Amino acid sequence: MKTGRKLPQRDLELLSAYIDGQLDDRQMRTLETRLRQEPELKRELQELRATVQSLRDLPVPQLTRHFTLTPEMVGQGEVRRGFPALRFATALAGLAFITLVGLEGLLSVSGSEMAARAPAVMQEVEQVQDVIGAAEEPMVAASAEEPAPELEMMQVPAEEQAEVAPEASRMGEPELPAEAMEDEEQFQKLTETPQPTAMVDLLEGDAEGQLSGGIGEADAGEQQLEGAALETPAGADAPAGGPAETAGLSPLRWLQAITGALFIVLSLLTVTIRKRRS
Amino acid sequence: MDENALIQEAKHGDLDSFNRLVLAYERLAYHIAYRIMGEKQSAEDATQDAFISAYRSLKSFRGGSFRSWLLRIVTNACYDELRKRKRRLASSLDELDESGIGFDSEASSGLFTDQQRPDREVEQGELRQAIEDCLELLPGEYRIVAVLVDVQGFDYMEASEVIKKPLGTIKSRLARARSQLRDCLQGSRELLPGKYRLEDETR
Repeated sequence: MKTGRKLPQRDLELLSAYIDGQLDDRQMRTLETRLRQEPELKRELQELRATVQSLRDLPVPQLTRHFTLTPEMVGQGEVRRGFPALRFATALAGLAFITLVGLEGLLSVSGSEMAARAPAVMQEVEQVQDVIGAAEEPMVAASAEEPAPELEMMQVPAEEQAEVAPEASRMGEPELPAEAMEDEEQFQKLTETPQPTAMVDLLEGDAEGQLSGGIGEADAGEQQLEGAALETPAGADAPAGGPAETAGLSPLRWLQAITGALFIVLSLLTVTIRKRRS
Repeated sequence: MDENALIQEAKHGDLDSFNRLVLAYERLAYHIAYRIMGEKQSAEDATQDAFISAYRSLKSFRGGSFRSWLLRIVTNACYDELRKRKRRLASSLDELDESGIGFDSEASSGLFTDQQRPDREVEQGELRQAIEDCLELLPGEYRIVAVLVDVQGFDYMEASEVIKKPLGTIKSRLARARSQLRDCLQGSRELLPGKYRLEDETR
């Protein structure tokens, strides 16, 4: 590159600023006086002006493309790609939560129905007992004179059971005497078996085995059933909660809590991302 | 929607709002990049990098002139690209030295003789090419000021905002840039139209 004449830097700056109209009045008057007196300085000014003009005359380059950004360019692509999956997961969590709540409701309703049906069942049981009693009357009359030792033995556990069974059921600890447990199981079978014929079968087996001792025994059986019937609501809850429910949250409740919390978190995340994107 | 609203939306991650700002400024940004870089591909790369960088650092924009803030990012992107180019050139020159192959100092400095200059460039206009060649020969810091003030017509104050230098520095760099360009163009005096060849008339 040619270096040209060595004009002092200060003069160069003055000329340059003069071209752009950046000098104040006093500087301008001083420079214009010098330009009239110094032809070399004037020539320098004209050359600089021509140079500036040549730069200003340069054509504006054509834009051959746009520079708008895509999400991938700024690292938003991953979020955008992951958004449908997030939305799907939110919907799935919501569905799971609703299903679990519905399941619990269904279980509790069926339990209540059973509890509501318990008196009707009792009535049927009494009818069946009457039928059986009528059929076995001669035997009962014969044995009524000498109460069987087993009757006394049976009566005591039956009474005890009436007191113990509700407590045991509440505590969820099957610490009842073996016979009481059997009776409890029988009642549960009764309440869980919707068909009356099945109940009759069960009762027939039971009545023939245990109530064959006579009316007293039948009373004991009735007490037994009443005692168990008192616990029917707890028994109805058992499938939903069971023994674990009394100790803390049931697994079903845990699942509900987890899916519910997951649904809330995912929903918030989805809404936030959608808001930011829109 | 006005510029401030678009900036606020873009600050909250709205890419569409930012892209509206891009469309408003891309022509100016590319023009500056093109004049600093001297060729299309590097100018496009620098412009794109600048917009990406601007979007990512938008939260650091605290108001004032968005145009100046954005063009500062553009000029910085160009600086970075020029530095890379300089390193590449230095390393390729070293390789040529090591291999014992000579090189034309005039060509390596960016100046072409009429014989060396491709026909396409001759067709585009020798004067324009001479100006562009001379502009490219300026040191980067002078070139940017010359592009902002002389090519784009910015005033000193805005140029000062763009490159974050005081007004005195702008005046000084601009005067040196013009002086060096004038000297360079005198080498191509025969290409200049009559109105530019004042030296002969005044002598």
